[in-house]
Amino acid sequence: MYGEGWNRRNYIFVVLGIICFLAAAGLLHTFKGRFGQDTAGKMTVNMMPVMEDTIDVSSSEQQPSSQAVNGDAAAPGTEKGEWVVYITGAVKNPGVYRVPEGARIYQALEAAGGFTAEADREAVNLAAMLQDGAHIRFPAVGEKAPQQAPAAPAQPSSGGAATPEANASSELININTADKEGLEKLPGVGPKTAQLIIDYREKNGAYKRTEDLLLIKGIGPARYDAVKNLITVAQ
Amino acid sequence: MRNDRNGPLSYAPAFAALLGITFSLPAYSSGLSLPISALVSVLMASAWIFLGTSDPAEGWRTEFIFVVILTAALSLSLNMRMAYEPAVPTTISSEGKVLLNREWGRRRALLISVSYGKMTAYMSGFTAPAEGSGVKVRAAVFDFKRAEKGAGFDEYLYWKSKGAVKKIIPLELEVTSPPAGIHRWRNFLKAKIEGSLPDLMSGYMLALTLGIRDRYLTERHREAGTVHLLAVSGFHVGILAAMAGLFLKRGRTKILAISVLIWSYLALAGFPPGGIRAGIMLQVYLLGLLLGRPSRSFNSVSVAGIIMLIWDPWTFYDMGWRLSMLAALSVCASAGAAGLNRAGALIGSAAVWLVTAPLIASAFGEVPVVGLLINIAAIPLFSAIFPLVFLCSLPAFFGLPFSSEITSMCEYLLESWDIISGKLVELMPFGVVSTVPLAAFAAFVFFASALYASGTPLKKIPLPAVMFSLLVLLSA
Repeated sequence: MYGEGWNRRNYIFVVLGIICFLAAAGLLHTFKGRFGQDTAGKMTVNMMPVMEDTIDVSSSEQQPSSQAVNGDAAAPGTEKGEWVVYITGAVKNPGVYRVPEGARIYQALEAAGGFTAEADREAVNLAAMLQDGAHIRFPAVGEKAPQQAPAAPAQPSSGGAATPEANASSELININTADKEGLEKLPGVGPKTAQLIIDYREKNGAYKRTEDLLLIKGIGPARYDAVKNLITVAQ
Repeated sequence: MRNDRNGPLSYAPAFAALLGITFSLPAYSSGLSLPISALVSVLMASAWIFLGTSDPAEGWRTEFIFVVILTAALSLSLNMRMAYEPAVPTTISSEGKVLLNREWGRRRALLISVSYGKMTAYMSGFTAPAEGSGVKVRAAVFDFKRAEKGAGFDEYLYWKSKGAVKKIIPLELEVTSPPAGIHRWRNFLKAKIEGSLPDLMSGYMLALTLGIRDRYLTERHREAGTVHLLAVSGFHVGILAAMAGLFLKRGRTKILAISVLIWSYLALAGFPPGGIRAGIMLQVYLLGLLLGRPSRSFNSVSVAGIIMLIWDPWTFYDMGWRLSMLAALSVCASAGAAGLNRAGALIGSAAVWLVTAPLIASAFGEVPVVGLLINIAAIPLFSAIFPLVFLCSLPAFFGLPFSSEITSMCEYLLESWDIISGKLVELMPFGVVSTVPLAAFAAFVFFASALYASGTPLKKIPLPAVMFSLLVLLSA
């Protein structure tokens, strides 16, 4: 292949080189699925920066019962009277589970098989109310609790007696469900901005927090400050 | 330093490690586990060494083991650091400092260092605080937008490579202190340059000294395929080091003085990736001189690239770093092959154009063919023009007599170049887009020249050059 004068060691080097190369190429191909998929530095889910719609389960004071959402808002594909929640972290079987409407966090924990050995059992208020579509993450011992989005203002539970707080919050305009006319009731929001608010949620999915309104063209800090106490993102 | 061409371990062991790392970083980010990514890096470095080695020198096993361990360790640590995402609240309230204020379409993009890390904010030019200002900010925090694969600008990777953690929208922003330190100097010089020099001179001086690109000049150079002349890089660092070398006496003081001068210049220019790469490379070279063991330039570039990745692994996704590394490696490799003569300069210029063309075309749409021609004249010409522009600016800065005549003469010279390059662009208004044959040829040329620079015997070059080119194409 390389002519005369080549000693045995040089051939061995070529063979070793080819073996190393093919092994590396094989690893890339086998573990990745196929070449070229998802490259250019695209991060996998566990590396993506996330700002989840995670409800705060670390303090019982922050989770009054009125924070449970109306069962009518259950996700498509779920039966009435049933909520779907996503359980992750230090539990035996993380995943998506269906729980009875109005369930509390300990019920979701039971559905996920209970705590693992390394779970921080006191980091989560197990008595707190669940919320349909919520993501509950149970931290391990020594693990920092995830940064929480501001808790969404509450809506009264179905069939339950509304508390004064719930009555107040029910007057808030839900930017995830309000129609154009509803949004135009907000100060500084005209037909054009209202349409942009609707377009955004249709394109990108539901607003996760009220601050997301700042992503709408035409809503700057001043306008946001004027509406932030009048809106909710509860789903 | 050995004269026989016995392979990468003797000539450029750092490149083998760098190659392994550059396969490992995208492998991990595309879903491979940490150990598998490290294994990929080790196998790639080993393949490069084995395929490029012939009649290895005594003690090669120790060197090989060292390179392999270093590659694995770097792959593991860099990937782990890139996977770490600091926890940031959804709203922040913090004091900080504006590290960067640059043009961003019709707005300004700011990089603000706060207690949670560096944050990016887009603001209007009227409200954006100057670079170096102390600020107190209350802001909502957002994730950067990701681009679909191969579909345009990726905000996440762009700002991550600049050190940013998240994007913020300030709800309140108060300037607490005026620009200080190096930023104050930058602002002072910017105002001085813009106020005392005519348009073209001002544009070149801003690019040359502060790394700020004038919009008109950038567009003109982009059309001519010479936009790299406006980015502070090895070209500028080399000119400055050569000028300093002329005025300083030999000895340790000279080496120290050049080092201080280069790093002060880079600080003033805002530490651009190409400039840092060149600065580290020059430092490795100067250190070699000091120790009486001059290093090979190809290996020095690779060492510089690795040091930059160790400093910040996200640099890997910086377009400036990638282009700078590809260009510098190609120049060093072609200079080694063709020699430091006129032919070497021609081949080097063509090689840089070719190996960077696919990357530039994929980022900006197309690469002007005329750049291949213009660069041959532009590079030696601008190595004289840049010092001239700098010297001609000094009388205007200090208000000396005849300063307006001197700056007018210099402006006339720059206008002449602008007209000539414009005419050449009109004569050859063609551009190449990113295609598989172009990328394949560019990859083959790069790997073949890298193998040559790594001391691989000529007859052993084609096989690994084809293999590595194919792998890059399949992975891209």
